[in-house]
Amino acid sequence: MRRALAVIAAAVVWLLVLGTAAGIPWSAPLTPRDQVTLKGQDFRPVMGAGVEDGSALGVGAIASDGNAMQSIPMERLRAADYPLLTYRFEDFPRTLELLLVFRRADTPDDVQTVALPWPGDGVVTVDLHAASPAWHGEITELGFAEYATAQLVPPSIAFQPFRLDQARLASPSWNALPRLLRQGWFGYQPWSLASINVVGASADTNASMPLTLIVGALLTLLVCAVLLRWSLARWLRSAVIAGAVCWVVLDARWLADLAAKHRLTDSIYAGKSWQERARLQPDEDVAGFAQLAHQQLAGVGRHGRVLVASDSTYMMLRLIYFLLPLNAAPLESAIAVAPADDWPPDTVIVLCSSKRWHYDDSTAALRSEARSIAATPLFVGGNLAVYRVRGGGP
Amino acid sequence: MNAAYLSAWLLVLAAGTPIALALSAPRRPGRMAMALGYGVVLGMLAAAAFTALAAQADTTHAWLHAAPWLALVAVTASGIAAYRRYRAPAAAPGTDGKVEYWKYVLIAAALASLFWRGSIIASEVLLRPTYPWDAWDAWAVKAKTWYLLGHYVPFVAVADWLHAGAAELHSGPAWAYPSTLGWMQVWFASAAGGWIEQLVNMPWFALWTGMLLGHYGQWRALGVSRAGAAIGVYVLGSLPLLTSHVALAGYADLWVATLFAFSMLAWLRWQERGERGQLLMALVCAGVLPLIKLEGMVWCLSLLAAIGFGALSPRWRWRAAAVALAVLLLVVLVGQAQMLFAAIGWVRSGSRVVDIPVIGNLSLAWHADAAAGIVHSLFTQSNWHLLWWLVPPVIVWRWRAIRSNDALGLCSLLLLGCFGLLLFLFTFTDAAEWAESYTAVNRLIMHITPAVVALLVLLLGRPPAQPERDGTVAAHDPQPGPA
Repeated sequence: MRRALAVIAAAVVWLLVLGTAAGIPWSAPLTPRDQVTLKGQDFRPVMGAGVEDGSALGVGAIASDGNAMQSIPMERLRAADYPLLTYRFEDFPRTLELLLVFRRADTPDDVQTVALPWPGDGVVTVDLHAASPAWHGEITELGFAEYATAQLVPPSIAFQPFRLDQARLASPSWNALPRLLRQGWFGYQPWSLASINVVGASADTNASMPLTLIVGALLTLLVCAVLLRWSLARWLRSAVIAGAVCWVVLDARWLADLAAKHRLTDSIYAGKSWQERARLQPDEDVAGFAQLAHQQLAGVGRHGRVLVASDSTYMMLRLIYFLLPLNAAPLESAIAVAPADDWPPDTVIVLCSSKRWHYDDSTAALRSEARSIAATPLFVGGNLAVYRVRGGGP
Repeated sequence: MNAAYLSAWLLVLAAGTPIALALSAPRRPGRMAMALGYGVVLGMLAAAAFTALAAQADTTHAWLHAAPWLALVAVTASGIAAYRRYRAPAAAPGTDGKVEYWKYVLIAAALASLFWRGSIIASEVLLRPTYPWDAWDAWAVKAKTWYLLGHYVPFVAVADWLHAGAAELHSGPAWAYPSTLGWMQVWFASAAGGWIEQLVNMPWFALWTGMLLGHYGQWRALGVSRAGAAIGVYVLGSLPLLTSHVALAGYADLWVATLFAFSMLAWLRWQERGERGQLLMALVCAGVLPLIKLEGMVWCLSLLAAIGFGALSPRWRWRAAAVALAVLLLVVLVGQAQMLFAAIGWVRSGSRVVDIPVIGNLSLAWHADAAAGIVHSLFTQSNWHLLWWLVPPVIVWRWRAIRSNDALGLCSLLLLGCFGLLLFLFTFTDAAEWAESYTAVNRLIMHITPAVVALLVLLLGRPPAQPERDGTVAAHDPQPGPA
């Protein structure tokens, strides 16, 4: 009798702990009270191209900027009543990232976005209320946008055709618990530049798997100790076993995630030569700029200083790295320590996707706010421009 | 991959392994694992040193210039190691008890998971070009420049760079970072025959393997059973952030973490076994830390202070602690102080500011959000599995072992001090921003994490020591046996 009671108590403990982790309200029913189903065929391509494919929408091409988007108008749906979004895609490539895009009635000109977990081939459920503070008010349009995973996948090889099968918005319910936790804990998360600092999402406090397992295990042990009248020694032994089991479960989760991350790396780089792998940079636009800049800087002497500027710090530093072994450094650092008149005479400036700096023909100088550098254009094409500094030091 | 690249790796092992063997007492359990683990790390560092010394004029063929020196080290260290082994008494049979079948199964599963993980991260390193930000922005810049130029050029501050006229100088945001890892990358790039980032980054995988082997060997030598040491290796190898630092190779933090733990373990072995070679190993590993990363100086001084403190008699320890406490109190009360630290320089503190040369000017104030960030990093994020949940109960459970074993007590004190330093840095200074944004906080905590795991395994994996007649506790010294 006591054992049966302990089993029931443990089941209740885990239901409550897991429910809290998934963010499901205690008052929620077992199945959703309200739901709106959106068939793939009802979505319309806004960017890229797509055709009806049975009840789905087949997306076969992206727009020239590398993005695709499909949307559907909504009849003023109250966001607070439908926090759970479930979606299903087929053949969604691992190289793409998925966004939910929507408009609200209160700000019809603004497009709101929420990053969504990679859908794979299965059904994915997310809690939009927890994922974004923008999910409130009345929704007038909803859609999905896809683009190459930022700073990880070369855009030129990212796209492959896929099908948008279905999306569903629903009110909270307990039957969403397994899907919410599966997605939150075991969903694929691609490498990002932040992965070197923190593993997984940094803002997943309530859905934290280590915390949930620890709390669940401790409460279960407590319940068992009380109901089964465990001795301290037995409780400690059980705690050690529970700790080991939790560790292994967390590690299995991490290994599965690592393997999923590796499948992407493998799909991009495996079977290619060193040269091809070096060419397949996630920021292939910057690598292209570097190649062009190298050609334009062929006449610059070995000791010539190359100062690089871009509106994006990432782009500026990446360009410097790609330009090596050219003698390059950030333009802003140089300006901060010495006026342009003191720079060596063979100094060259490379601007990459820079609106902050512009060339003023009337004064034949580069300008940024109140700053001015006398320079002669050597090359100007698209987002790349190369200038030679005039009047440098001896 | 070509023959030269493979030869470069063999040379690294051939030089490093005998160094570790020469500094270790023969016929200790885990000796070969320790030698291979420490050896591959020391070998890579030796390759970096000889490349810096012998190949500045011709970095394209750097490995050919440095290889003879490395070979000389290999021969000399092998000779010393062989001589020491020849002079050592024959090994007694091992005393490890019989391991139950189910434990074998568990250990095999744990090791299988490590092999699988290892194959994934090795493949990641071999496939992807250098990825994380500082890897290409800071750590690989000098190496790539030197290798592609074909010779060494100094990196200087931007102001000096601009005013240097025709002199061949380079600059960049990370011009002041230590060059050790850069020279190591030059060694491997020259052996690979080109700037192939995947091959240049392979040392990070070797470092991870070396870290696991080195820990296993030292745990065995310090009396941990095979099963205990194998489980410890699994725990260490399974930590997600450490794995990420290998898969996304290029940062210096894993090097700092490994060398810090290696130094602490060697020091521990010297304290418990009295092996002078291990003291030298501890000092070498500690001394290399500032040459890897600027913050390494803080860890180096912490280790040296701990080693010095440990060498004092109990009476002098109390006196040293009292003096340190008095100085600290004086600084707090007066509100201003200047202190000259070896290798760091003048550390100046005001009432609300402290200026540490290797870190910068930090204003002092309590940052509650940063404290929350640290708690979040340690206990709810996925960086460490359950490691930091386990530390407090294990310390409480094994408190008597810490109290009764001087070496373990000193190591605990060292780690507590280092952890306290990190807490102070993140909650009372401008570095709080790094904790609130979850950037450097985990990487800096990672510097001491392998050492924390090492201590936990020693606390849990050794049989309780038997008190000797005078009431002190005997060092753990099981009969030596095969690794």
